[in-house]
Amino acid sequence: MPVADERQLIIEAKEGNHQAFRQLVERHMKQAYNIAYGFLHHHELAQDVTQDAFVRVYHALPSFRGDAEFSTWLYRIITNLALNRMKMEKSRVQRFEANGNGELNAISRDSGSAENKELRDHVERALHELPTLQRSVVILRHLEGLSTRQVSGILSCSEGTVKTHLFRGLKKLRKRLEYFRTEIT
Amino acid sequence: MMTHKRIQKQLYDYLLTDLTDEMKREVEQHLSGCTLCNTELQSLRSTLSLVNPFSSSPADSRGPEFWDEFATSITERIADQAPARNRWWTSIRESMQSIVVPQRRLLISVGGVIAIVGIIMFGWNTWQHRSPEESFSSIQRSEQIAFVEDPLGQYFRRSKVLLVGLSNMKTADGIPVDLTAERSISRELIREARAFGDEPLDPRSTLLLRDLQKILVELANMEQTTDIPNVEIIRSGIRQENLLFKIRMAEATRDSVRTMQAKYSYYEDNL
Repeated sequence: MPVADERQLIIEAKEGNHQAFRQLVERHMKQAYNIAYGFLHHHELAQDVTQDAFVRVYHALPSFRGDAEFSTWLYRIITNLALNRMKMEKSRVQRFEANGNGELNAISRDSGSAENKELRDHVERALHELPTLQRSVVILRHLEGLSTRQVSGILSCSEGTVKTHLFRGLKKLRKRLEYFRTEIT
Repeated sequence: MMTHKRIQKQLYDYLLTDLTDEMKREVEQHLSGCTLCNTELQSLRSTLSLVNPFSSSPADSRGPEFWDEFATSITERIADQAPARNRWWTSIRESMQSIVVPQRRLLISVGGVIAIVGIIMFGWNTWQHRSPEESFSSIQRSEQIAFVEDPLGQYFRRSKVLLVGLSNMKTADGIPVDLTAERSISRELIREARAFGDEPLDPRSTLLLRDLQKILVELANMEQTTDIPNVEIIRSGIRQENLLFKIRMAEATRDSVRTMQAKYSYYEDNL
């Protein structure tokens, strides 16, 4: 959709046109969902966070000045909500386990093909051990394929910072995955 | 000439052939004579072979009906929120205005007279019928009521103060907002909330705590100095969850429960 058309939709949505906002939702919902899923690895949580984000965006529309692209703004909200949700889910799991209720995986891991499941589980664990900024950059830049420029807009940092964190994040991942690579080669 | 660090930052884009021709030449020139950066390149290549993007996008695993429903539910949530509240409040306000506005002067006069008479009667009654001992006892009872501990109620009150302050915060275009104090308070509240996790709470309080945590975590993670859109996002979250109304309801419920508890313990001690 041309940028001019999207700008017109945003103007109309600001004026309370729900249909215009729906068109914005339809344009961005799948990518937004993929980003949320990249952090949460859980369809229901990703759906919840993504819907929350769109409702928040609607209510905050009056303050959107158009300095950044709408998608950058939306993905920033998604990223923040997803990171917050991860923290909440993690503390809920820790409380449950501390109460002696055995192992509970609050964030159920959706499996891919059988032969990759173990690898993906390990990658996911290693990913979640990264510092927040490095994890965010790896997910957004590498797993979701957003450009360096987009990621810098979402995370409010320079493109150089994005590249640095991507390099460091992948390097840390490599160290965590080293033993696994030795096993499978 | 580019340093090792600068070259290594470009290696990811180099592998994805996402560099300009000029940058690509500089990287290759450096790699031709640098063992260290070549080693990093090989390591990065093998890491990327393990950390693959999803072979199919998670969104693609959901069918068209899901996405149709997804968009519909968002627009329904938005349509249900503000307009319903506006309709309810607008009808009440219009009914009141239809009575009050034409008769304003008369109503003010009558209201004033009633208030004065009420104050005189209350004061007379109190002075006539209350002995010094009774007056002192009533003060004692109210102090007992005040001293019934309610950590959860205090927690809701402090959260309310934080959220009201944030909702009423003055902002101006182009001027960043300092959220240092708000971040610090929200982090304290998040820590305190963990203590309630092990207590048996009524369902309403449990839900309210959960909804509060969403906003508090978001606020705690905000930049110390942030721009207005981020503040608006928090404000919209407060409105969306109707948090201030829910806290007021919880406070009202807890105050009446505390009063009953205090009276009960007072009567138990004095029978």
